[in-house]
Amino acid sequence: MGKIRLMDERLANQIAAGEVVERPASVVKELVENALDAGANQVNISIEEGGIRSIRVVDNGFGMDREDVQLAFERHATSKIVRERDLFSIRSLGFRGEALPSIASVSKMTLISSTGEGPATRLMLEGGQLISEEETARSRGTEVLVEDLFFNTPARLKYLKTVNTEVSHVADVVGRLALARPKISFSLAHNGRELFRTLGDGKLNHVVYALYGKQVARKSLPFSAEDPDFTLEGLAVRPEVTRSNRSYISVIINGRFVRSLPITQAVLRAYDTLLPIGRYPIAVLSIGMDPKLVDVNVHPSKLEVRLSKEKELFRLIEGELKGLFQKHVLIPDAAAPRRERPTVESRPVQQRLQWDAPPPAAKQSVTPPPAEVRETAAPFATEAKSPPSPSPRLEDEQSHPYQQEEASSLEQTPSKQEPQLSERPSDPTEAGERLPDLTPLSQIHGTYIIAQSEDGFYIMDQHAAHERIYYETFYRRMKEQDTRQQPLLIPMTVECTPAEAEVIGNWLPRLSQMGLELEPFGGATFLVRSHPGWFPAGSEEELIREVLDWIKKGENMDWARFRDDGAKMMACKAAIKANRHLRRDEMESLIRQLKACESPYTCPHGRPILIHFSTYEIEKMFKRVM
Amino acid sequence: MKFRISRSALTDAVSQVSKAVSNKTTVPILTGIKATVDENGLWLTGSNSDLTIQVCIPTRQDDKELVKMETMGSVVLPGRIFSDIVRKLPGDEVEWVVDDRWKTVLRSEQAQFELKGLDPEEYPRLPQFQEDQMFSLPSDLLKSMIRQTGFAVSTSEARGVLTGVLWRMEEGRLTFVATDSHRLSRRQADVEAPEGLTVENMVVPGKSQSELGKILADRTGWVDVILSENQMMVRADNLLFFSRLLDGPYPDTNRVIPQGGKTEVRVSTKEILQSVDRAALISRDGRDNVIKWTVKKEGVVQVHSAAQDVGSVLEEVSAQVDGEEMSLSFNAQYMLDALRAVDSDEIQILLTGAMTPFLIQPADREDALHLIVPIRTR
Repeated sequence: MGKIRLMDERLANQIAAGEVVERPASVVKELVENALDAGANQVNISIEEGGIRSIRVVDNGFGMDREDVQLAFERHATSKIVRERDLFSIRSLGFRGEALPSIASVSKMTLISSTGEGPATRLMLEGGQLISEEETARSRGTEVLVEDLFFNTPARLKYLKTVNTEVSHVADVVGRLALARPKISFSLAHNGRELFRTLGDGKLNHVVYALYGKQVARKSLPFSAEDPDFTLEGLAVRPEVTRSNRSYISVIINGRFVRSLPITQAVLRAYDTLLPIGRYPIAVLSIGMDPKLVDVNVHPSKLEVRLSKEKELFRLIEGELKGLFQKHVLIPDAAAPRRERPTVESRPVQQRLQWDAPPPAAKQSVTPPPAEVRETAAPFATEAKSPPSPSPRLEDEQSHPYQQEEASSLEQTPSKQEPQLSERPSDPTEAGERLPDLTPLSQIHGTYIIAQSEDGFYIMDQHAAHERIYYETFYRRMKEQDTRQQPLLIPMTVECTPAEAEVIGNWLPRLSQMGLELEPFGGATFLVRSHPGWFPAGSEEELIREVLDWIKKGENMDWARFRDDGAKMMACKAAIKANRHLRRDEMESLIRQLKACESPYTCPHGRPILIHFSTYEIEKMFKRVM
Repeated sequence: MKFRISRSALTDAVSQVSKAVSNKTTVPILTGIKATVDENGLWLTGSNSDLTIQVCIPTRQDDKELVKMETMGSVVLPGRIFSDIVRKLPGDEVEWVVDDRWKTVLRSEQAQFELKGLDPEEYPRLPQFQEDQMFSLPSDLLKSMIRQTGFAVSTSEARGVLTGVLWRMEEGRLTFVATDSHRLSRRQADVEAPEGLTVENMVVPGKSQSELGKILADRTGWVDVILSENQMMVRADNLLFFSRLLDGPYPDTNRVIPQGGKTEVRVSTKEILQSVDRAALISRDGRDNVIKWTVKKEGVVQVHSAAQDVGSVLEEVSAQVDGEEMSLSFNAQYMLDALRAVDSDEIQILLTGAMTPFLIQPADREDALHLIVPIRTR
């Protein structure tokens, strides 16, 4: 008896702080989330010495009156949940009622709050104990100053990283919140210097501009989609801009920034071959759904969520993004950002005649004789011989350099329609026009093709282009040959641990359906009797081992993924290499085939195929325009 | 299109045109072999980005009937599979029938193949030539000129015109020059040419030239070389060989060839070649494949090579030395290439300094030379 006692409240708070308050960034997160839950539309954050010396968060939300202020420091005191069922339809960011007392218990805190009516209240606490309470004056809103964080928990203080690391964590947190709430103006300052400020005009693109800079914002493509359960909105940055880790894929669910590996994976699958190996895209996805479909109460930091109807959501995301990339011309421009002329509203657009490219297999036209006996350029020769296609279409002429918006002018023109910063006026091209009309001019170093079109010239990597063509062909072919099986004369043996054998054993029927026949061979050994016919020759073993590795890891086997890998290997081997002379007709044929590709912008490994030099850039280089 | 043909003649011809058929090309029809039959015989054509080879199997040869034509016609068949089939057909004769959809039936004894053919109209046409720019030489001479120069071309397409061999023609004298700017090989010969024919800047791609050497391997007799603006054609018995020519002016190499030297060395080709070959066993493991020669007045050439982690080699080859003593380093591969290209028993080496290019010539003739740029060592 007498050994077990109720903890005193300060101690309980300090223990809770262990979970909630890990470092200055978590303090900032909790305080800002409170500000947002209080309905603020402006939140200013300033920190000193990485937030270790002080953190100040000022908002213009509802504020609290004297009684509320006192109550706020009681553990599990919250204004956000009243009834039990509220927990299952949470729309506010905080709800556990732990943050404020926890932070207060490990710092020296000053809180001033006003509802806008009557005097404001100022509360000072040290280590969670009230030092003073007084009336003061303040306009509506709340201001929290946290000083000497962890002054009474030296162990935690010791584990803080350098000032710079802590600042970047704070910037990270504020950045995420800003992305989640484009309608709210955030500013973050460190040691008096402003790190960034968002406008709070509700435009996600402007937030991206503030956080990642002009280049990224201009190269972002907006999208939105909806299905019965979800709404999806966001920005995907063109695949030419990449980062070395996936933390630039921001996922926001119901206004809350979350981490979700499966959603990130869905985004990566959509980018697929558009990204080089080991590079990741920048994207922001804001997903709206019924709060009942999502459980955020997994961990006190609320970063992880559990979703119902995951599969539907992933399909929606992947489909939407893939569609988005299909709609845009994804050829990177060569030069650094240029200054564009301001847009003239509703500029008259010159229409022009557009005729179909000559059908590739037209018998009389494409007889490419060696350079010297050929008639003039092919398209015209064709035109002369075969009657022009029935009805020339009228098309809006693209005049892209000028339709672009100067990024820095966004503050003056916040009322304009969404894709303000998007690089080329997002020209949702019709199918079959994913590449401009390219006329090959010459080849340099036996490796690159120079081609021109109306809007400048292009450099094409011949190997990358050919690889893409073969990749798409092989991929299709493999799909057709899906059912063929190659039995092995001498079976391959695969050994694994008993636990893995158990997992593989459960997979046997499904694997054999897919053409990979395994047979238990006693103990934890299996014999591979046959494999799918499309496994590229010479790489069979590699692929089989990879398949089994996936299963062993207990991951979901993505069969298409392996077909994909197989196609990539074969394409790379079959394609023409660099350092090889190409005749003109070979270049023309290459371009024609590339045009028929679904995604003619990158090789299957994500390297670009084409780089564009616009006429405007060339003019600038030669100072024809200044 | 229908005819019967001797299988051995067909196999020979197919293996020759196959040299020009590439498996990797961006123009699918170029992976095919074009066949055209008429009263003169069967013509087979293979083509890639550099060259085109056309071989004829005449109706009769040496009183033997090779082709029995029933109806004329033309078709393009997939190159690799077609040549494999022909090689493996069982009989001495092949019956060959093509319908108007270019479906091709090849029959020999009990075996019958059906192949999907392609429209021959889609196959690139051959370039046309006027015969005013033409000269002739014996096939054996052309082969040895090719062999003695071709190895010196650059293999990097980025070097442009240096990936080819310059063929220059002046007053009946034909000169081949090849260089990758580290070494240079030149060979000259008198040929049969119309009076006043001058060819200044004809640059044949190195790959084409080596294919030409291979295809002429078993042929004797004379060949004609015919030129146009950017194509060349070599005509031999039942063979037409076309190659593109490289654009751009070939550098003036006469100025870099030294006239004489401070030291003159005469040495047995075989002895020095074998000794360099041995020294290369050590040098090839090093980074630059460097071998050092020290020429001594008492009449020896010291061949030396050392590689840091492997070891070293030293050998002396007796030679006739006139002039200063000298030592210099060079890339062993360049030397081996040059020495192997020399047909004479004895060579003459002309040295001017450790840093200046040196010459290797057959001792008994003036029409061939090889130049190597030494490696600077510290």
